[in-house]
Amino acid sequence: MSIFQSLSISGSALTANRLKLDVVSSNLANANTTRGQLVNGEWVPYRRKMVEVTANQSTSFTNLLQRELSGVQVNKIVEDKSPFQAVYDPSNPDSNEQGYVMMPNVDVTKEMVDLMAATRSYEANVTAFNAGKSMLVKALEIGR
Amino acid sequence: MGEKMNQMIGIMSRALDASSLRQKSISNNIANVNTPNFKSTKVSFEEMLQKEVKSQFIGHRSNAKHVLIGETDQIPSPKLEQGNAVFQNSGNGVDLDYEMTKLSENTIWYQSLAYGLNEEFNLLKTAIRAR
Repeated sequence: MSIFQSLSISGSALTANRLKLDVVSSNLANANTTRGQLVNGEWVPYRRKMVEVTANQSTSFTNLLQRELSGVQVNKIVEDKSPFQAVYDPSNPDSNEQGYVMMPNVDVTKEMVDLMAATRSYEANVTAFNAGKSMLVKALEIGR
Repeated sequence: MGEKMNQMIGIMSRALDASSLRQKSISNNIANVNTPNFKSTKVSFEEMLQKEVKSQFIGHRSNAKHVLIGETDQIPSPKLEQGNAVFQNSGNGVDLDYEMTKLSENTIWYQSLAYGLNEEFNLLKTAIRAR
């Protein structure tokens, strides 16, 4: 068990939360993108992305033996499968025959809440990091 | 006197180990505050130490080579324990406020232990130098 482990645990959470912020930013930036990706020659609106996190599971034998603590990791970025919103706007170049435009399934309120949660979580982890750091510095003073 | 002091240093360094493990456990809990189905961990040490200190049962020895029963000089090692409480709909079991309080508590606890250990060494230093 390394002495810097508590720092790397907090560090892994900082990475995960920063990625979450990146994904939220991407969702917010593309809240009105009607041409997200080209599927079979047709434009499909942007789909909301989500981050899937799991506790960092190391599979090595010693780690299992000691029930090692090793932070958090981002498994993958998944797409939200909820339906697109149909908005009536016949003048839009992407509208269909009935005059409806399919808009991304991004809910701005939801994104803002996710943004706040990720920011707060990031701050909490910075606090934990600093506490761990001050403990390490204190340990250097023993016997001096 | 020397024995007692050695044991004191032993207990304190073990308590430092416990505190450092606790820091890791708290960091891990805070890191996983949004991980679905994660259950928080905690470190138990003080209870075990207390039990060890208070243990009244001492096995009778008719020979000095007999194994000690009850009273031991062993200092317990800190252990990780898995909680099973659920705090969020995602099945997550981390109480962030609790973890943050424990975090600052643990930092101060670690620093005072380090201070105490330092004082112990200073006593030894004084004794060695005889001044």
